[in-house]
Amino acid sequence: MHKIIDYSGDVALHITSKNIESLIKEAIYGMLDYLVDENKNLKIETKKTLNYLIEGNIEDGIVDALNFFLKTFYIEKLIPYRIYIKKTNSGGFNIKAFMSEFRGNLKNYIKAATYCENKIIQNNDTLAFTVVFDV
Amino acid sequence: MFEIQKVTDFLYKIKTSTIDIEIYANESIFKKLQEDETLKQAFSITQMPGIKKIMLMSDAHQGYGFPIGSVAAFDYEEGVISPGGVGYDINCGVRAISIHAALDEIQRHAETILYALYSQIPKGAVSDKAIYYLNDKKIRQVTFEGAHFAIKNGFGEDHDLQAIEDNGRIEIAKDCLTKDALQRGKTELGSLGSGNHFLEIDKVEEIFDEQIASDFGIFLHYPVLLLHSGSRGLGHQIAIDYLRLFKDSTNSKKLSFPNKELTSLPFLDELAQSYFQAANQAANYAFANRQILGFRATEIIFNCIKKPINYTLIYDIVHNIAKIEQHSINGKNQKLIVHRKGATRAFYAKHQYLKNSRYFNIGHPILIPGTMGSSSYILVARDSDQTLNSICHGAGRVLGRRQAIKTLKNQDLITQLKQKGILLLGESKKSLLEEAPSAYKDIDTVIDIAEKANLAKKVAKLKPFMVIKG
Repeated sequence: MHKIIDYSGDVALHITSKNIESLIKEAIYGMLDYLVDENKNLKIETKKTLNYLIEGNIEDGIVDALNFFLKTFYIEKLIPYRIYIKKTNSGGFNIKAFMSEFRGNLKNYIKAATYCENKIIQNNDTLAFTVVFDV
Repeated sequence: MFEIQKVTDFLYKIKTSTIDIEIYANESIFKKLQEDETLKQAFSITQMPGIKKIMLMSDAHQGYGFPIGSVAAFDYEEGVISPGGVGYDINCGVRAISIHAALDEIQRHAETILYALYSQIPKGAVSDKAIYYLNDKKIRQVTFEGAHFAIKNGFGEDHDLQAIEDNGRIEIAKDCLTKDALQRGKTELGSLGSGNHFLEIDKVEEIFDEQIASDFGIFLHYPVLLLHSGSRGLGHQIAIDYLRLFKDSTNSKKLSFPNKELTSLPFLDELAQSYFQAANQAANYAFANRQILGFRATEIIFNCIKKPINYTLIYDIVHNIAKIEQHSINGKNQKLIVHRKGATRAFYAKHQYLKNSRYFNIGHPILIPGTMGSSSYILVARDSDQTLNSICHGAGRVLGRRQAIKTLKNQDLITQLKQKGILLLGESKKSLLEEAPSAYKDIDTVIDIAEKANLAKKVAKLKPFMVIKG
């Protein structure tokens, strides 16, 4: 699950999930949901497959991954339409994303995903994570 | 939690273990600052290495890491540079152009001009509609030459340079652009952007100092074009890339910060120097961007009124940047790294930093935009060093973006502004509501504080009659 909330003059993406893999995936889809409009003429076709490795601090890694997909979108006009997350032997997470060309309209501009207060909080069996976007 | 001292009706101080936080605010603005994280964020900055001065201006509000509307100065040798202290939109700034045409001539063609500007100035969340497309070689040229590049390519005249902060170019020692920043910059030169970026035509509604206004090229009831834009994706990408590199570097050095957005390195560290160069390259890109946008906007206006008209660049001022400056603190002259995040310079007459400016004898114009429904101001600095020659940059938000949409959703902003004589066009109803006048502080109060705190005096008040939001 994800929702957009206010953060002072900017906005934040609040994500909840049952595990880290799903949290990472939800963060990427949540960012896209804020960034682009629904596209009734969407024609998905894999232009490229990208791999992105999160290692070390998970919270920072998620922010870095969001910025990676953000710049891929701005430079190559490609969005991930299918994402697989796999835990690596070293405790990191590999993101495999199938990228399709985006031909629709942008809904909102995001300058960057920030590291501001990016802490994963566990509440019973649910993980919650908030990423502030500079808009 | 904090020991607060009210120094005057417009200046508060908070004592900390290092230096005092100086806050330019009246009682109600100061109360508002206590409701969110702004003061805590300022406190965190006082704990950073080599901090010499931290101030919050009258438009300050919560940011991430550094508050918006803050000025933080660090010692050149012992202090740090922080990408979070500059922000993601490096060298974002405001440009004002005086149009030498009778107001009614512009107003007679108002709708034509509005739609022409709207359709011909690239804006919004687009990244592939530049006025000037660049290859690898040319983009490097732009980031080394700034506004000079734009002028060499026909977008303006040499004398414009004397009315741009730093004369439109910061000296670059070496190329430190990242690969992705270079790519993003290729297709965005001469584009306005989105969010709070705008282009508007104002009427000079009131003059407070006739002589200085005339020296600035501002005349009562004449039109002034005002635009707000920055270094676009190139600047955002430099901030993203270097913040990540800073974080990796500080992790390996086992340095920690109260907030990751405060991540910083000693200014003389090699990576810090690379960031400083790259940020200055973004600054040059922003200078070129505003030069091209301003020139193109005047061309569009002239095409609409079907005749050439003279214009004067009043000034181009910056509000997101870190600079090496000399200032006196407690009577001691010091070399500092001054971070202005949502704050502008305010140099008075004969100041050494204005020696190549056309405004050396009077002080440069300080451009402070309000909102699409209120006023903007042009000020001139008072002869005072108390804020390291810095001042506020705008009205400052009071409502979050979604809060603004929720609160104002039933309002027809376009009709309301039209009733006030303001024509408005934007990318969407939602983006207009996010930037609605009531989402911001009252600009008159913000300016009043700056004036009563003796930082600057009012020269002119502008009122918009045509607004295009990015």
